[in-house]
Amino acid sequence: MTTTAVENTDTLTGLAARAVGVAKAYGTGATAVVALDDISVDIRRGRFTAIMGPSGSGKSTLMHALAGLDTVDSGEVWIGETRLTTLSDKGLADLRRNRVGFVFQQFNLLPTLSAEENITLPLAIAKRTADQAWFDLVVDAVGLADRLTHRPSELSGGQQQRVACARALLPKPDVIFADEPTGNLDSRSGAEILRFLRRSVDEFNQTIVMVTHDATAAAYADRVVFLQDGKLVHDLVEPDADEVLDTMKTLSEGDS
Amino acid sequence: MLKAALKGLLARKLRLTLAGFAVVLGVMAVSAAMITTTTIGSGFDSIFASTGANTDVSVSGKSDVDSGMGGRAFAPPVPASVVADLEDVPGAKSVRGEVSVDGARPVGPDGKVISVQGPPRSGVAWHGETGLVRLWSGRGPTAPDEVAINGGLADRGQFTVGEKIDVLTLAPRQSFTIVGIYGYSNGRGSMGGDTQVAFTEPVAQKLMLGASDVYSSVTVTAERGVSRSALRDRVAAALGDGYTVRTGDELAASTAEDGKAFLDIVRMVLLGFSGLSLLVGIFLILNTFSILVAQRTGELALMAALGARRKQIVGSVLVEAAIVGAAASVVGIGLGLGVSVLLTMVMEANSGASLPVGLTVPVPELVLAFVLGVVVTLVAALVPAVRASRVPPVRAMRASAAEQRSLTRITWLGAVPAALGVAAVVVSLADIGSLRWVALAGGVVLGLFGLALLTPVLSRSLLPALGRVVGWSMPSKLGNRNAARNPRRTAITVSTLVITLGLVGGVSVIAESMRADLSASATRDLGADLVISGDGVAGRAGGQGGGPPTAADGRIMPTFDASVVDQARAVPGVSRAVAQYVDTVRFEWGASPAAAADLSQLSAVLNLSARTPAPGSVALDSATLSDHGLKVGDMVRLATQRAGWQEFRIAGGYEANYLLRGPVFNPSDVASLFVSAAPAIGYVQLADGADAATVTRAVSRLVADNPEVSVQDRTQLADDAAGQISIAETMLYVLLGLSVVIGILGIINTMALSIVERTRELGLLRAVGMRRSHMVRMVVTESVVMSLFGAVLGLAAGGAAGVAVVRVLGLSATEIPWVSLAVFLGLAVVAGLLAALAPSTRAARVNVLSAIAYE
Repeated sequence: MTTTAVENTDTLTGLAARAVGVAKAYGTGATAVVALDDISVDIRRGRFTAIMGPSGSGKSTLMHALAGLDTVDSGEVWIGETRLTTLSDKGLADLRRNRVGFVFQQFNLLPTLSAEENITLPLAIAKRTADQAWFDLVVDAVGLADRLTHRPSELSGGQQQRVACARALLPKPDVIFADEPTGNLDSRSGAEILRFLRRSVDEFNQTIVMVTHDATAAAYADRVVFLQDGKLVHDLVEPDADEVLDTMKTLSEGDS
Repeated sequence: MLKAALKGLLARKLRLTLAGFAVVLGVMAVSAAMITTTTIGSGFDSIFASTGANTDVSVSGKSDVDSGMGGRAFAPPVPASVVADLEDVPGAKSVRGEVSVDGARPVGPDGKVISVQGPPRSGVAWHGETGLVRLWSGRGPTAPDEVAINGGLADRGQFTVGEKIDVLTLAPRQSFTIVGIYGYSNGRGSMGGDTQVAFTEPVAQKLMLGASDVYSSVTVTAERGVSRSALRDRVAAALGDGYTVRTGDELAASTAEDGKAFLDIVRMVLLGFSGLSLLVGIFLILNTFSILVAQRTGELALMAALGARRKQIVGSVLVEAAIVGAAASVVGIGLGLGVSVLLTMVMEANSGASLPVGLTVPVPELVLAFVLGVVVTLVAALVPAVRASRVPPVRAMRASAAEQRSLTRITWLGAVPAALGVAAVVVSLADIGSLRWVALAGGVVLGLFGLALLTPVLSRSLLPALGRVVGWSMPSKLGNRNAARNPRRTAITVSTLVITLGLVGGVSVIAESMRADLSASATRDLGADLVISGDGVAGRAGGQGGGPPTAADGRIMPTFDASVVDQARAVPGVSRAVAQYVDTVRFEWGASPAAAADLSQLSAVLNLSARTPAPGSVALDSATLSDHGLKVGDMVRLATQRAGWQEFRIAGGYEANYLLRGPVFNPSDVASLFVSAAPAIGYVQLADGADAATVTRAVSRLVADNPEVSVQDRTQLADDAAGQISIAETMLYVLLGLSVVIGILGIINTMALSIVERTRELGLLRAVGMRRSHMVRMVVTESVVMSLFGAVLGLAAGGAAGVAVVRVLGLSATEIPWVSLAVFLGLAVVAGLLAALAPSTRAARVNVLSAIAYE
């Protein structure tokens, strides 16, 4: 615990991830759709960054590129000091296992594993064991201490997503990528998840990148970047929900 | 509805191909069996039709000893006086005695006896170029040391006129000069692949019939205007009972029947294989259609929501099944045709018979095979179809396909028959007389039925344990959990392996126990150090291991010259040498092995105490005596091959053992009673201190010129006795190997579906850092754990049933072949690995993005 805090303080000013001049297009020729158009973005350590934008703006593509889930046509993607664009499939797998965490809209838990096994899955794949104190702290933070032996089918949607959050947090990754984490939840469960993410950043110095189209969700972030037609069009720092809504309104008006 | 079904069919080509594969194999075997046997059968009919053409009526001796084994029986010879008797029958133009008997075994250039599978190796009396026979070169035999041979034999042995040929007959090996080679009026050198050696008549009578002035048959030709059947009736009336009188056509038909006897074995093997592959095919089809229907639950529910009736939904699945069944059956029949062509060629090559007909295709049987294939497919698809129609539309559109249903009901349904089955098997172990077999069979069937229903619940407890054996790593753990995920699907998937390995387990336990029993009994009862005999003769002389060997059951029993035993007695280091003559006799209650020997001497080597019966009397084993209320001093009626029904005085009794059973005659009676007057077994006992190797060499030299006979010590004899079991066992394993292939297909099928269903999970695993190699390991574990589960279940159940069979058979030992069972388990692992090849590659290639992206 102590070491983690020190480490994060030391590197607070560093970058957890960055994209440099990243471009990506789907299809070729006349039917080509530009998803990312020369985007550069820095993700700072220990910050909660939200990526927003209308459907088709390229926000998910950007997140997939940053997380090493998708390839890019040109440009560079870094996680910490590691350049993803040159890594092999095996290297990418190892990176995802140790240095990146994911939270998906569809929870994506393994139905055959208990909640605890789902949480420790990335560590088990890497043949690592969790520090018990850290594990207890994370489980306590998501409020699942009495649900650990349950299978996903025995948990509510909110509980499942909290399991997914704990799974992402436990290996202390460089970055957690959350893809519409509240998209499948009612507003109360969604707020719980967002509060937990916020807390991870504040208390555990975790770096989080979240893709969302919900202004209320984006308001939990330290910074919101707006994408439109594959370009970075706006950057808000510590916004509230109204600012986010206004910006989105402006963007969609400019679009029409 | 039909159109939708057809479109669905095309979209799922690969999976349907897998499902159809079992039907293809089954139908292929059925149609190959039908076509091959019909083709060869009609070939034989047409070959032998010509043999009846020149004979109007044929007279042969009637055998009183029916071995019950089918094939060519040894008919007692017809006395020469019959020829004279028949010349007076009105309507008879000419009467001629013939000698034509199976059992002239020519020695080939390599020093081994020329063997043919199926057709006879005849020894005949030469009558010149009459009837069918046409000389191709040289002339007929005129001197006792001359023979003519047929073209078939000349081809096989590369014999030419002027060369020497050695022949084994009822007499020991003799050398002859080939003076002629002949063929038949139809231009062929062989009748259905037979070999023939033609001696002068007196020699043929001596060597083939064992007596002078006798014939194997007498043929009568009719005067113009006298019909064959009329002449037959007149001849029969003139001779009275005791002879078989047939027209030429009847003779030809019966000769062809004899020639076709081996076809029954071919047919049985092919149909057995076919039955097995259709049985396991049902499970594969059931599995495939369950999967297809599960995948399409949403689609079918949509149809229901749009107003399709339940009947229409069942119909749409059944239409698919019917098309698959029909296509697979057509392919199967096509392949069956190919296999038949190959089989016919192989048989022609093996038997030397070239068939005068092309492929004969029995249309009604093939239609039957086709219908069988379609019906099997439909029956197997019915359960999943009905299940699909019962899903309420709303639930189906929402819920995931792999929905869990409670196992409580199926477990109770299985537990009841399983418990009853086990109880019945336990009861069968107690001595309850003839009901034991009924109890055992019923118990095994009930037990298997119960096991099938219990497999899902067993998978819950067994799979985790097996998984721990297979691997501890996270990917292995995930694979193991996946295997246990859907107990019903796992159960259906492994059912083929359970059935196959159940049979394998049972067969291996029974075979191992029989081997132990046979080799133990063979040596336990044998006091001799060396045994002179042909392959398998000694092992069967006591009536064990497939019944007694005789010349009468169509297999020619190897014998040797009686002087060999006398010479062996003179070899230094030999303390005792005894000859045993072997044949089959018939009591009023059935057939029995019989022997003739100097019983006082034989008793010493077989650990008995009995005295040699006087000529004309017999010694009987005590079991036969007590079973039929006989005692020493009584008269017993029995039929011998040569003398027919006669009464014999029972001179003494003895305790039957593995090597000796049934009536024992005085050796001097052999010539008049037994087919062969030469001994079939010689027992040699060594003097104390004699060097076994030296004596064995010396005794072996005595039979060096007889390629059919060898000298074996006790170990070899035990192995020889056990060896016959091994051959049958191996043949069974080869057949079962093919159903393992179908089992592998079943696993591939299920795994492929699981991977499609779990794309999202697979993507997640990649996202949280599983390497491709991890994915492969996960899928391989799932497959291996499933096949191990099936194998363990099958081998355990089959082994237990095998032990029960062994006990009920009353074998002296229950041997469990642990090594073989371990090998079968290992093979199951290999099967699991093979089945995982394609699915694991596919899992490793799952695209992370497409898997986690939400629709």
